[in-house]
Formats: sequence, C-alpha cells, structure tokens
Amino acid sequence: MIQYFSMMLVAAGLYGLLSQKNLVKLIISLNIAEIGVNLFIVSIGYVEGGAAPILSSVSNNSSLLFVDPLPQALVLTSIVIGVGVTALALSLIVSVSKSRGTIDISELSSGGGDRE
Amino acid sequence: MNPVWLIAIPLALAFVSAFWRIVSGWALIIAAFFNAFAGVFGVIFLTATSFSIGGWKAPYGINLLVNDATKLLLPISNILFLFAVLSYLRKGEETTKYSVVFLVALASLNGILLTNDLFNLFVFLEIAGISAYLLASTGEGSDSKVASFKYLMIGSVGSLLYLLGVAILYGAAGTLNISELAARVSSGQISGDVTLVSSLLIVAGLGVESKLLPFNGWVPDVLTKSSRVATLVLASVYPLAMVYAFSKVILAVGDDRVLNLVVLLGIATVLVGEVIAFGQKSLRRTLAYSSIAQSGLAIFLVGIGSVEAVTGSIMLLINNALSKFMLFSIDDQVIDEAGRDDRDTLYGYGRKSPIVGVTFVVSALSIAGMPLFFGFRGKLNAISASFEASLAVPVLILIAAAIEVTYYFRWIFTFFKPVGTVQAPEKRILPSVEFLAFGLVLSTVIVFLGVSSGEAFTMFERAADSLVNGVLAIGKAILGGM
Repeated sequence: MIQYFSMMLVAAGLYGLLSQKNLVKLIISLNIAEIGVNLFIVSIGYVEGGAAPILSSVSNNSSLLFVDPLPQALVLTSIVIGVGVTALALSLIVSVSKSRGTIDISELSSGGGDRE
Repeated sequence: MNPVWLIAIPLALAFVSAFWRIVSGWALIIAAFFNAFAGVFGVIFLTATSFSIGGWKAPYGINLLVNDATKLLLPISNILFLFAVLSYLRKGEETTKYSVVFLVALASLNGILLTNDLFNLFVFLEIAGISAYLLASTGEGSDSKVASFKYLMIGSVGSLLYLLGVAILYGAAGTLNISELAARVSSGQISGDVTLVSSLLIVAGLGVESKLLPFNGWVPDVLTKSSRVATLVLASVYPLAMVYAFSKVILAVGDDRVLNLVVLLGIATVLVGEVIAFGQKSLRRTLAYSSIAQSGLAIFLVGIGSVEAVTGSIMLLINNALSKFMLFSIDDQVIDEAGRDDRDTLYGYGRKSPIVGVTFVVSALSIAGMPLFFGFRGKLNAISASFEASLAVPVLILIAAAIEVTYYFRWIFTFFKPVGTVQAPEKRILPSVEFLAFGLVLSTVIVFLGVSSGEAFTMFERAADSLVNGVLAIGKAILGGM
C-alpha cells in the first residue's frame, strides 16, 4: 500500500516539474519526487512484524525476523544527497534572481539566451 | 596498490583546500599528478580484479573492480584531467578558485570508473553531477547560471529515476553488486518485467549524463557558456566516465528489449546531433553538438552488445575524449585572441598559427573518422559490428558520418583560407607552451593509433571482452561461492 502512495508522490513531483514555472516551485516538486523514491526504498526493506536489525538484550536471537537494514542506510545517504542538491539549486536561484531580476523560467529562457 | 587511493587522495585534499585556501591551488596540482601517475603505474600492473572496501567481502560490501576496461580508461581520464588543469595554471585563477570542485570531480570520476556497486555508483554520479553543476556555473554572466540550473534540474530528475530503478532491482534480487546482478539476470532468476522496468529507468537516469537524445537538452548551453577549463573537463573527461558507467550497468542488467531501445535512441542522438551541428555558426556550438553525436555513437554500440560493438564503442569514446580536448583548447586559443569564434574570425587562422592549424586538422579528421587517424578504426569497427543489428543501422551511421565529414571539412577550409596578401602577410600567432606540448602529445597518440598495426588493438578488444563477459564471470563466481 505504502508503495502505491510513494509512486503517487513521485508522479505528483514529476507533474509539478512539468507544469510549474517558478524556479523555487520546481525545486519543491523535485523534493516531493525525491521523498516518494525514498519512501519506496524504505518500503522494500520492510518485513511484516520484523524487529530492528540490532542484536541486543531484548532481541538476542539471530533467528528472529529482522527488517532489511540496507535500504534504510541507502535512504539516509540519498536524503543527504538530496539536501546538498537542493542547497546548490537554491544558491543558483539566488544568483540568477540577483542578476536577471526574475525567477520565472519562461522569462529566463527568452530573455538572455542566444538561440541560433 | 589499492585503487581506492585514487578516490581517497583527491577527496582528502578537497577537504584540506576547502578550509585552507592558501594551499588549494597546490592541492589540486598534487592530486592531479598523483592520480595521473597512480592511474598509469599503480593500476595497469594490478593482477587482482576485485578490491573490497571496509573489510566486507564481495557481494555484501562495496567492492572496486579493476578489469581491462578500467585499466584502459582510468589512465586516459586521469591524464586528460591533469592536462586540463595544467593548461590553465598560468591563465587566470579559475583552477585555484574552484580547486575544491575540481578535486571532488576528480575523486568522483575515478569512483565512477572503479565501483562495482549500483548504489555506490549512484553516490558517485551525484557527486560528479554536483561538481559538474558547479563547474557549469563558473562562466561569466548569468547565462552560465541559468544553463547550470537547467542542467541541475535534468540531472537530478535523471539520478532520481536511476535510484528508483536500482531500488526495484534490489527489491527483486537482494543485491547491489553489479557482477552478481548480471549473473542473476542472465540465469533468469529475476522476472523479465522487473528487469524491463528497472533497466528502462536506469537508461533514462544514466542517459542524462551520457547525453542520450531526449535527455540531452542541457549539453549545448553548458558546454558553450561555462568557463574554459570547466568546459575542457566537462567535454573530455566526463563523457569517458559517464558513458563507461552507462555501458557497464546496461550490459550487466539491461533487458533485451531495452537494449533495442538503446540502439534506436543512440542512432537518433547521432543523427540529430550531426544535423544540428551542421547548421551552427560558432565553432564552440558545433563542437558541443558534435559531442552529443559522438556520445550517441558510443551508446548505440553498447545497445548492440557484442564484443566487437563494445570494442568500437570504447575506441570511439577514447577518440572523442582525446580529440575534443584538443578541439576545445583550440577554440579557447581563438577566443583568447579574437574574442569570438564564428566563421569570419577564424578565416586564415591556421595560416597565422600553423601548429594550431595542424592539430585542428588532426583532431577534426579523427573525430570525423578519416583514414590514417584513430577515429577511422573506431568507426570501421562500429559499422562492421552494426551489420548484425539490421542493415538500416550502418546506412544511417554512414549518412551521419557524411554530414560530420562535411561540416568538419568546412571548418578546416575556414582555418586555412588565405587572407593576407603579398604586401601585407598574415601576422604570426604563437600558441601557449602548454597547448604546444599537450597538442603534440595527443596528436601523436591519435596518429599512432591510426596507423599502427592490429596488434595495438587487442587492448581495446580485451577491454570490451572484460565488460561484456568478464563482469558476468565474476558474478557467476560469486554466486557459486555463496
């Protein structure tokens, strides 16, 4: 079920990327799609009734049912990367809006590009 | 030597130079020299193929793969990177100012070439991507920022799709090791629908960086508007690593139906790239569209997938990297002197500066695939390998090659058109020392590979064989040992 939901988030993000013209809204759409993919990855490692994959005094039997820890590690990495890309994109938007005075992508394309 | 040093040294120096600005220029030079030497002497003589990281054995942890293809591409990309850095050491402050970005780019490109893990590849692709966005934004004015932003949007969506494809594959196979995945896919353990969806997503994701047709809208603006040294790296070293990553992953986990699609998209990329390059008025834009076409050539051969085709792909990839390095540095020379690079400015440039003219002829003819040059061997291989796909493929490639030859010859004629008269001979222009040295080295390599006998080409065949069959064999060994 959660997998359908995450795919809906990805679809919503892609729709936003196609329909929005404001650069900041484009970044938000990208983040929504990213969250969808991250949710999907976490859901892959989910095991019905599984315990946290740590051997401790409570769950000290290695034959217990554990969830897959790898997707969680992957998601952690991909969230960090997503934050980095978002920060870079926002700094580019600041630079563009200072020099061009607009953050509308249609004005940016028609304004200064040298179409040949 | 463990090849992880090729990634670790530039990354460590990037941290140092981020906090200590005075040494940043030196850090870049040290790392570039280290990687060039270690890429040649440390990697070529390695006998082991798999290096595990962090003490986890092959299928469970990340491992680095050093096969014949890596041994070929790693030295070339590191040496080209060193050349690019050295070319601009004395001109301006670009290399010092952005040395952190260059260092991170160097580390991630080596990582892309070495890693044998799908998620690790995603991380390196993102790092290489982020440094590429930064490099693309280094040009003057706001145009390069807009181009970089567009690149960032396309690149992030691409890597998102790639990540989704990797996640689907992981969910079905339970492993991220490329070799093991190749063995599981080829033995039919994974349902065809899963490989179809995941390899479609992976093609879309990696297609952005390797300039495949519907995903390559960012290329012309990025290659024409960013700063000069950044363009040199983005146009010569990046395609090597990116198209290699594409072929490594697609040959391992690609579904047959998707491979057919890759052939189609690759040929469309070649044709569209050449046709648009034909109509360009400035040299830099011509070269940018020609880069797209060359990537398409290398990629459609991966879609065919035989050893011969992949041999051609690797040869064309290397030829493109060497020649584009020279062509873009020639374009920089021209812009340095004249400020523009359209046809009128270039008339007679080859007469004013014969060395620049000759290197331009060598690299342009090699890209266009004329006999006596390296590119000819690559295109010959490509055409003979593409007969097995369908008769239409070699015909289309020949048409594209004809267009390419035409526009490169037009530029060569522009370069050598006489402009001076007897009374007022042309003023001589001397290129920089760096250009002389690197141009001569690379021209010699191109001509040598173009005229040498067949023996020299076994290394390309071995590289292709290690990609097509070697990765799979390692995976089978892993599966057998589990």
